[in-house]
Amino acid sequence: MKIDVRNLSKRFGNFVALKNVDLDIASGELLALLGPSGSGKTTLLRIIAGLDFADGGEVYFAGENAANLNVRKRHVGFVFQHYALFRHMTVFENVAFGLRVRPRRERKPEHEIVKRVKRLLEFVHIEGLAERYPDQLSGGQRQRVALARALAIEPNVLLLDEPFGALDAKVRKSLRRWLRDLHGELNVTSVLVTHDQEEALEVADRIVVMGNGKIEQVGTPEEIYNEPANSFVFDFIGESVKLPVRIENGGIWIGSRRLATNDELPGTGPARLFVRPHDLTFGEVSEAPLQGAVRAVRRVGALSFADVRLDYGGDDLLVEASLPPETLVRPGDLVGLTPRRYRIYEDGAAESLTSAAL
Amino acid sequence: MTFIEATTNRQAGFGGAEENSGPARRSDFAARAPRGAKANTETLPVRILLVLIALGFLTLFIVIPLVAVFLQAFSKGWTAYFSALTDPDAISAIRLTIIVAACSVAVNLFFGLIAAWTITKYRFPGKTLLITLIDLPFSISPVVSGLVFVLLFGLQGFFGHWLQDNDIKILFAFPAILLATIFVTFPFVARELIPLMQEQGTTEEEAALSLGASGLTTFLKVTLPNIKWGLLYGILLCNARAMGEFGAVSVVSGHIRGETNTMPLHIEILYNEYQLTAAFAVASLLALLAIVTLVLKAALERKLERKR
Repeated sequence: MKIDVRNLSKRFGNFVALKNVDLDIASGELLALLGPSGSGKTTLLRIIAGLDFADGGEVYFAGENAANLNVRKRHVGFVFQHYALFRHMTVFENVAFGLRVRPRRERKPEHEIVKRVKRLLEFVHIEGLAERYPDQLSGGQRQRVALARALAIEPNVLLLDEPFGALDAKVRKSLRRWLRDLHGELNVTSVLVTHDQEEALEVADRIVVMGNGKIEQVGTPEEIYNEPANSFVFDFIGESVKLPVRIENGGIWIGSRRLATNDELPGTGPARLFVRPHDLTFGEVSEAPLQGAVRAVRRVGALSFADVRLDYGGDDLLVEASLPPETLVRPGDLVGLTPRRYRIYEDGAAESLTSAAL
Repeated sequence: MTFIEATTNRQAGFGGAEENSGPARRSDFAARAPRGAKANTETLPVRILLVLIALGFLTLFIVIPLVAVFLQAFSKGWTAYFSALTDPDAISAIRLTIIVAACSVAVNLFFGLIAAWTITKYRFPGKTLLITLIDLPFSISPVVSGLVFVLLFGLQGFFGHWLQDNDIKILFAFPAILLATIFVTFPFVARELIPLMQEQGTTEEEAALSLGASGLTTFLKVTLPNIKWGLLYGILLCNARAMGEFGAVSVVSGHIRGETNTMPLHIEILYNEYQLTAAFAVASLLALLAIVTLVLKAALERKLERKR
C-alpha cells in the first residue's frame, strides 16, 4: 500500500521531534528511516502506525486520510524494538493473538487459525518453538516471533522499529539478509527505522536520512553514499575526514597550497572539505597538498589504515587514511596526502558548494 | 527481575513494616551464601550468641504474645470460647467487619487499578504529586484519617446540616466506617501495582492494539495476566488491614453495640469490661486471619519467584 506523509509536525514539550515532514512511500518498497537518536525517525514511524499523534499534517493510506483510523483499524504490522512479545503466552499464542481478537463475524474458525499460525512459524523458521515462552528464546528467535505475529494479520504495511538493535553482530547480519529475502517474497510495503547506516545501506530500496526532525535526503543507497546532499548526510553516512580550507580567487586553499581551481566557486572565505578516508591517496611530500607524519598503522580486517598527523599551519589535525595494499609506510614516515574525491561545504551552510574528482 | 524490583519498592513503600524476607532478600542471600561462609570471621561462641539473641527476641515479641492470645482465648474451655464468638454482638461485629472489608477491597481494587494505570501508562502534569498523595494514608495517623470524616460529615462539619436536613446518616453508621476503611487501605493495591506496571511499560499493550485488539481485550488478555500475582498480593494486604483497622474506624463508628462495632472495636469493649476470655476469643479470630494472610502471602511470593 502507498503511504503519503504530508507536512507532519510533532513536538514533545519544548523538543521538536518532527518539522514539516513530507514523504512518499511507494507500494511494496522497503524504506529505511536512518538517523542519529533524536532525529525523529521513531516518532515518524509511530505516527504512521497510529501509536502517536501529530500536532499538524496528515498521513494518507492509499490516498485516504488516516486521521480517523486508530491503530486498531490501520492494519499495520508493528515490530517493536524490544519485540514486546506477550510474556505469558506461548510462541503459538503470540502469533495467533491478532487472529483471535478479531470481532466474531470476521474471525476465522479455530482449525484455520491453527493452520495459518503453523504456516507462519514455518515461514520464519521457528516451527519447533511453538510451545515455548518468550523468555525461553534467544534474541534472534524472539525477533522472528515478533515478525510472524505482525505478519499474521496480513498487514497493509510492515513497520519495524530498530528491529535488530538488541542483537549481536553476527545474528544481526544473518537476520538482515533474511529480512531482505523475506521482503522480496512478500512484497509488503515496509518501513524500517535504524540508526545503523550499514543496515540501511544493505537492506533498503530507498533510504530517508533524518536529522533534527527534518528529512535531509531521500534516495537509493548508492545516491545517499555517493552523492550526499549536504554536510549532515556526508558526515553521518560512512567515514569522513573534515578539513578546514579557504576559498580564495576561485581556488581551494589548504594552508598555503592550492588544491584546485574552480571558477564556479563564489566569493572568499572559510569552508570545510569532506573526504572519505579511502579517497585520500598517498603521494610525494613535495607535491601533495597535505603533508604529515604517520603516527600509527592499524589493520582492521582486510583493510589497513594509517593515522596521519597533518601539519596544518600550526594546528595539528589527526586524520585516518586507508592504505592501498601495496603502499608501505611506517610510523614516523613523512607522507603526502591528496584528496581524490571530495566535497566542499561553506562554513555554516549545509549545501555543497562543489564536488570534484581529481 | 520484575519481581525483585516490585518487592524492593514495596518494602520501601511500606517502610518495611511487617517483613523483610521478600524474594529479593532471599535470592540475595542464596547468591552470597558461599562467599559469606568463607568470609565468616566470627568465632563459634559469637555466632551462637547472635543466633540466640535473634531467636530470643523473636520469641519474646512475636511467638509468646501470639501463643498468649490463644491460651487466654481457651483458658475457660471450648464452651466459653464458642459462646463468646456466638454472642449476638460478636456475630454482628464479625459480619460488619467482613462486609466492610469486602466492600473496601472491591473499591480499592477498582480505583487502585485506575490510579496505577493512569500513573504508569500516561504522561500528565502533577503525576509526581499524585504518586506522593497515594502514600498519604500510610504516613498519616489513622486517628487523623477518622477525624477528617467527622469534620466533613459531623453536625458541625461541611455537609453536616445538609445531611441532617435530608435525613442521611453517614457518621456513626456504616457509610462512615466504610469510607474510613477505604481511605486507610487505599495505597495497598495501587502501591503494589505501580512499580510492577512501570517496569513492564506500555509496549505489550501497544502491540495488542496494533494487532487489532480492543481496549478491554487488551486489558483482560495482556495487562491483567502480567499483573495478576501482584494484584492478588495487594488485595491480600488490603483485606488484612481493612479487617484489622482500629484507629480511624474507632473515631467514626460511634461504638453502637450490635450495630457499628467492628471486630477490633468489639474486642476493645470486651477488654474494657474485663471480659478477658471473650476479648481474646474474638482476638484469636483476627490473629488467625493474620496467620492465614501470612501463609498465603508466602505462597504467593514463592509463586512470583518461580515465575521469575
